[in-house]
Amino acid sequence: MSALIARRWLHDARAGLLGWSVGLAAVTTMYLSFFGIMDADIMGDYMASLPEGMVEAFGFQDLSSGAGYAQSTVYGLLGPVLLLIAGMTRGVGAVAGDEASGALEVEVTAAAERRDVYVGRALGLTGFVLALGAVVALATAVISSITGMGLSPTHILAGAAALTMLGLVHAAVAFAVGAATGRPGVALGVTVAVAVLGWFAYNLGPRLADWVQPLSPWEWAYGESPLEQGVDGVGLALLAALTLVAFVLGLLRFPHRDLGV
Amino acid sequence: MSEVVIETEGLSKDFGPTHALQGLDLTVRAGDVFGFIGPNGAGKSTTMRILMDVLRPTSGTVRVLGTDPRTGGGRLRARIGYLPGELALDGRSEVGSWLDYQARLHGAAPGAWRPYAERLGLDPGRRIGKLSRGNKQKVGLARAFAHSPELLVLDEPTGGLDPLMQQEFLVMVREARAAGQTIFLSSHILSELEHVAETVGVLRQGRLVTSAPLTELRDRLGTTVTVETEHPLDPAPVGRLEGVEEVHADGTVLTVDLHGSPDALLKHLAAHHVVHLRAEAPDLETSVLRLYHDDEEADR
Ligand SMILES: Nc1ncnc2c1ncn2[C@@H]1O[C@H](COP(=O)(O)OP(=O)(O)OP(=O)(O)O)[C@@H](O)[C@H]1O
Ligand SMILES: [Mg+2]
Repeated sequence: MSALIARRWLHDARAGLLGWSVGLAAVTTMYLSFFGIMDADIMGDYMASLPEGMVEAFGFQDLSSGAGYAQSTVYGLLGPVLLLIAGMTRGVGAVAGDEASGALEVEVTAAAERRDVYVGRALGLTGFVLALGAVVALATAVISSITGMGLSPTHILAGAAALTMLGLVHAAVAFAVGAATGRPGVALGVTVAVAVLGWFAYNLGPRLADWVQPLSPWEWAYGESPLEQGVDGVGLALLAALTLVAFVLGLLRFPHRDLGV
Repeated sequence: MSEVVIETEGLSKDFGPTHALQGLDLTVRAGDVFGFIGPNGAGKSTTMRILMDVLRPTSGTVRVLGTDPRTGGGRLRARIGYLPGELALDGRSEVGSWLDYQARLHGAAPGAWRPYAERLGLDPGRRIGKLSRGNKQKVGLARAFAHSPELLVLDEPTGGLDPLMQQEFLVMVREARAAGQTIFLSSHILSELEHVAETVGVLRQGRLVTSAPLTELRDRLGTTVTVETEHPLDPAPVGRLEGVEEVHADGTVLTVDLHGSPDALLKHLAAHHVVHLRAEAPDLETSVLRLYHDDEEADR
């Protein structure tokens, strides 16, 4: 039953999925294409000219290496911004949004268990985020091979996995808070707070205290520079664990509350 | 006595400070067409949402087809066809593909909805978002009827339907009843249900004001008799006659509210020269409105 619901949810989300895919593919292609055009030395000079605080605050890395450039542009900044917005809005909409609009009523009053509705939509949402992550990975692989960025397939996969899991964590938080409360505004607010606090903790945390940065999902995703170093199992596991915790907490609440109140 | 399909006892539902239902005792029997009427905010939709396990009662018990909706889950809902009062549908879907999906969700064969869509004049190829309100309502009705459920729970089913489609809907209800299905439907106005409901429950402020077969309700409301005599009649002795509730005299015209047999009145009139006589059932609508009203008076 939840597989049927997941498929239908994805079917209904297909237009959005296409739009976000085009957007992410375009951004990835555009930014990464510049790498081949720009001279490595100029990039290095550009970096040196930036104030050190800014380099740190924006998480810029060495722009003269392919991995550093991809991380500073697509994987560390624009990719997550787009993927997080896509995942969050879909996550909020999947239960809380449909509940507020009333569209959820025709699904929970059908012969499906609440649990199945929750799991089905969570699976659909997961598929949605994974598909967008795959688009970024694919676009990166294509551009890397053309421009000679020197990114190996495993490193691309590692970077894209980190990006995708970062998106999935936020989508799951939005989904679960929405399903637990039925309040789209609350769900969106909580998730934006998690994303923004996580971003600051990752980039500025070390200046505050040692324990701040390790709490950030961004650190879990990118702390070990996956585009350069390959898959970071521990980081991915932490992201997966937080996703799962959010999923389970929502599942504990959703079947037991009034809908549409 | 036939089997009970819906039964609530002391059912209450609070939304914060709002007492939407206040100790509702409701019984709907198998094979009945039960019209649930009441003014805005009476608690009709709240009751139906509790039956469908969208809402959970604050107190009291509910049994639908012998099961508590809270524990019956999907298996229970497979036996029910529900039309929400505020039907909201995902506008991006096509009518046919959405109804197929709903049929699968209900464990019915895809396409089970086709005969109903055809009768209601629904085009399966249209996008739901592009449909008019009445046509969306038809999608909701096709969904509710498609899997031939034992029980139909329809919240204001005729909302947005044109008179022709209202007729078609009534035919669908009669057919469902003939097939042994039980129908529980709501409306604000009795006249809408008068031609189809066999039992009527009147709800006001979360309480059942009355619940009775429609014929009994009609009897209870009695007859209004208007008599014109050659010479004015003294209303006082008429008022004391058996079955007469109220008399109003206006010259040679006498208006009598009659409950029960007209025998005593006719025998009394036989002694006079009657020019004209008319007996009519009072308008059920106004009477029921009075029922809401009387209850309101009693509350004070
Ligand atoms: N989700 C909700 N949150 C708060 N109050 C609610 C909610 N749903 C219903 N109510 C309140 O409960 C009462 C009963 O509402 P309900 O929708 O059941 O009435 P109804 O009989 O269906 O009315 P209508 O004929 O207008 O559809 C109303 O006072 C309404 O404001
Ligand atoms: Mg209502």
